[in-house]
Amino acid sequence: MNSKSNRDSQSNELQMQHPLLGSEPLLSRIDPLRRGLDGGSGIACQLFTKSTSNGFTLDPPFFTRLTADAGLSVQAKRQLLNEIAPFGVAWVGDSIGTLDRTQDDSAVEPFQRLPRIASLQLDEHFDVVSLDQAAAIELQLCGVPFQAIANSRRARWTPGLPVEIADFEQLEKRVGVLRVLSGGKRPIGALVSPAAVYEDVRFLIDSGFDFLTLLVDVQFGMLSKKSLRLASLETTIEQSVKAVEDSGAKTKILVSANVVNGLQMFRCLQMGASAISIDAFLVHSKPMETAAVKETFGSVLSTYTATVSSPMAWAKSALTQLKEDLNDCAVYAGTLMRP
Amino acid sequence: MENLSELTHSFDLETISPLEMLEALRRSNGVTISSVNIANARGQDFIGCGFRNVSEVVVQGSVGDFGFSSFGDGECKISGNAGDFFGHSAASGILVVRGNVRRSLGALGIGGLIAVYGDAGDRAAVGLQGADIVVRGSVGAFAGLGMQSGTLIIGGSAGGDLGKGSRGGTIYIRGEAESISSDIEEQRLREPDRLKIGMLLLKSNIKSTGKEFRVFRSTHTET
Repeated sequence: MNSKSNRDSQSNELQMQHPLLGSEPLLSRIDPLRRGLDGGSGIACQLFTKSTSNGFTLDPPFFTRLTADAGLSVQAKRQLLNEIAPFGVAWVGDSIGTLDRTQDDSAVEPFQRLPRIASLQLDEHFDVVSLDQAAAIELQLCGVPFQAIANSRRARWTPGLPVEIADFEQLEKRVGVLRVLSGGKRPIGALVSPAAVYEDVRFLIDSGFDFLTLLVDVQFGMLSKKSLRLASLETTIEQSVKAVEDSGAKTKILVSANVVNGLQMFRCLQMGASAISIDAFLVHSKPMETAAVKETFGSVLSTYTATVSSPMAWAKSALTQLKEDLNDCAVYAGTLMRP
Repeated sequence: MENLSELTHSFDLETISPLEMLEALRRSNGVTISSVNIANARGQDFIGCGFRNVSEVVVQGSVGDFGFSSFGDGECKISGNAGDFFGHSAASGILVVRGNVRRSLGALGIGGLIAVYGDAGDRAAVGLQGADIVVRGSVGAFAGLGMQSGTLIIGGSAGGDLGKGSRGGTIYIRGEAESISSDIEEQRLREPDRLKIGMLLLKSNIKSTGKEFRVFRSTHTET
């Protein structure tokens, strides 16, 4: 009995000392016995408001910003989201089709049931109708205001406050007004490109945000595997998790980074991130275009006749594989961590 | 809260919060409400946020910060003063304040008219995106900061850096400005300007003509 309690206390100390284990012990987040066959529920991300506990759960904890940042057409967005809809991936961006409650179920596209996070730019007015249709609201605290054309890609992600905010204290009220406009039913978050991570996260938590999206890497789009690195992934997660712990809040940390496989994704979750973007994973999973071959009438015709499925069909199989990889990692780590 | 009829609501802010007030109005399910009377407004924040489909709103007292944010589709009269960010993201309709307004009046407004009979603080009409703002008195520094479109009429004088970062829109001023940003330039007051000023003053119920005003527009082309 004594040896067991000693072992438990040692394990707790180890978890407390370990900088990568986040606010909750790993065992309480990833338990193979509770997780079940599906494997997702142990690492689900719950995005809820602080006061009314309204919100939604991301299970598995994935989200995508490609719908907001990659410059996809509306049709491409619909195709991509319809493919990843079975996984319940949250997506960030403007509304591309409203869900009519009176609509017949068969007429509803799968993506319309996905949780959408409405993104508000630095100088964007509050569109009540658009906000009403969103599952959550995200204030983008970076970019170039007044819709001026950015000189460089990096300028778009320069940290900044909304244009009408004259001092830091007013941000809390801006969160408050969004809470009133959304009826207190939608989680309010902020997108930040990390600079002084610890101080920024403490300030944003004090301002009343329910979740924070840390933009560590920015994908250039679906056509390029390149990404723009803004900060170190490990340091960013580590400092933000410490800031959340120190503040005693339950603010969720979402991370958008160049994470391209299940192991890296699991590592981010293990470090304390609540949800991870699958943007880089999707871009890297996209099948490469075949090498140029001599085009004949027959080859051109065959490509047109053979294309029956969605051009984004690869996303579904890639996400299936990702979920399995993540599950394997969780089972492996969970087994190792059992006392 | 006391309901007089289905189309008329009266709220006492001593017994109801702005959020509850909005929820009560949203229960009308899109039916236009003829009038809303709000009593005991003593500078509480977020009063009138998200009010839509209300023909007339009368507020007895003063509103705090973010008053009548995202307002649209009606006419609102406030007997007292207003705090920061009054009429933020206003979409349509008319907002009238009989007293003074603090900072960031009408920020990011995309439509409608905001009339202030007193003075306005710094950053009036910041990031304006199409709304019209009339201030009978003076405005503080950075008026018209980052305006993209819309109109700001200043009956009195203005503080420093008038029109800084402006990329569009029009600023009319009757008095003097402490300093004028290089982002705007003075242009000749033409007949359409006089007509526009006259029409907006008429809608604001302010007696004046558009003759004494000077007009400033952005030096940058709209991108």
